[in-house]
Amino acid sequence: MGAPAIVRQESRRAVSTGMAYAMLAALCYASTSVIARHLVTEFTQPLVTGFLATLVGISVMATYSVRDVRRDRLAPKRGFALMALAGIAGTAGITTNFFALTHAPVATVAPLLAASPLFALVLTHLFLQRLERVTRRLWIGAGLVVLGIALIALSNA
Amino acid sequence: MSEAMVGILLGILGAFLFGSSPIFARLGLQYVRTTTGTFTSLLAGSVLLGILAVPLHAREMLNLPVAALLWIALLGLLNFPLGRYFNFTAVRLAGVARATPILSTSTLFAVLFAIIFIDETPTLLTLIGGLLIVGGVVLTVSERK
Repeated sequence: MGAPAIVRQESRRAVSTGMAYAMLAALCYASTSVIARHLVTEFTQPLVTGFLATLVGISVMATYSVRDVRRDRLAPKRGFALMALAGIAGTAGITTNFFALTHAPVATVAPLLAASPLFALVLTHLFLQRLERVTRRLWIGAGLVVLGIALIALSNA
Repeated sequence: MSEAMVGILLGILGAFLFGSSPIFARLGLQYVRTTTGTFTSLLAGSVLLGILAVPLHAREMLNLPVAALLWIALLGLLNFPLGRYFNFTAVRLAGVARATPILSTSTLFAVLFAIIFIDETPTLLTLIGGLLIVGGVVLTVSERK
């Protein structure tokens, strides 16, 4: 087997591993959405839940990321700034969605949030061309997922 | 502007912000490890949430019952050190275009959990939606380019 073939095989393995991680993350998020629903209906506000849960997350993450954070201390500042923006954008997205729900019904707002993978694909196409390609199959796949989520959101509205 | 239109615009803004998060992560993870990146993103997100939550709900936070605190601890553990770390690892290894549709299957899993554990009955729309999500993920996962 030639070197390019080995590189291609390793790259495919990395992609498969990445997709398995995505599935694990989806499982975690699904269970947390059940817990979050219980918390905000029985005990407290979404903002309080989100803030305190993030503090728990930071405390746990700090204990097992301390060595890597030390190793990365000389990494370009740009890396930290981009990761901070990732955190702010994700948090601001969810918070904005909570505020949207105070102005419009769930049936209207939930399908809009479901469209976030399409925004991600458009932004990938615009800004990440150097790193990845969005093929027609990925567009169709994301479109079906968005449509499916919107239908589920509508059926539960 | 009508109340509903404000809600729609905020909903679109929320989806845009949420969709832009993995783009920043994909770029940032070229420079730092996934653990470092997850920690940094959590820190930044918590500052934003703290600015909003502490002035509005400080008293409520101090008076939460133990049961609520235990649920919050479980939520925090599952959502951040696990969920977000897996999410960022997926984005780093598979890319945004492949990882994001798969991450969105959390809605389908949430429905399945509700059917299994809370005995919820799915509607026809839910079933059609579930099939579309599965179809979309199969297309995404089978992409080899």
